[in-house]
Amino acid sequence: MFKRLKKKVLRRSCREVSRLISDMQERPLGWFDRLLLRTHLSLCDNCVEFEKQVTFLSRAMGKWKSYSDES
Amino acid sequence: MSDFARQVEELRPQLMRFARAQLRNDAWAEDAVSDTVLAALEKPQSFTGGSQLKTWLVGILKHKLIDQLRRHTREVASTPDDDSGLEDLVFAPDGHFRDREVTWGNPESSLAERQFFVVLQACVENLPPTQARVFMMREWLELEAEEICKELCVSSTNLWVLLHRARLRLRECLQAKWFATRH
Repeated sequence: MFKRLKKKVLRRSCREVSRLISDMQERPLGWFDRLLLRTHLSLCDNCVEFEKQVTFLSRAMGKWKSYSDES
Repeated sequence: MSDFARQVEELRPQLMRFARAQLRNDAWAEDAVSDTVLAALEKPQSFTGGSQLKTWLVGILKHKLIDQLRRHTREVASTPDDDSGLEDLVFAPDGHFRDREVTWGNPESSLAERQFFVVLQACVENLPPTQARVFMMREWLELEAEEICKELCVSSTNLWVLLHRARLRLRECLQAKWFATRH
């Protein structure tokens, strides 16, 4: 049972996990999704990078806005 | 023309640029900007001078943009983007990112560069219209997800998919047009 759960958590693809990373900006994730995400991120550099890119995009949009308010 | 009216008029082209980026429709953008200028000229006394004139106008413009979106909701909802192939382009059949070399190092330094925002704006303008609209509503107008769902008549799951696709596309675009050219 534990093995199967472990397998289920570990074998998530970047395709699914990237969606969770996006969703995290919009809604709180459930405990299972959080576990899945944390496990995947500890093993996958591409998704760690994607998470950074998503939060960077948000900051960039904030900056763009204040920059267009000023200039 | 009063000084105030002249200053407001001078800002019209910039307001138009923001309105177009948000609405993706010149006629609607014209309407939103005209409504904004009218509202400003009718009530110059409500501009207290505490903030910059432009910031104040952008504040009014946001409401007018939302009014326009509300008025044209049906048109928006009836033309959804067919962008279901996007994820197959970004991800390999095994679900991994195809392009593993997309690392941006320290992207923060780009925020200090004017040119970066020109590229960012171009990337947003290149998004399919519905994606651009929800992304701008969320990140630029800072509307809550529920509000966007209500305005555009989409379910929250749909909204999340649209935002996710917008982010995937912006990532690819910024990678190609900005970050890849700087290594």
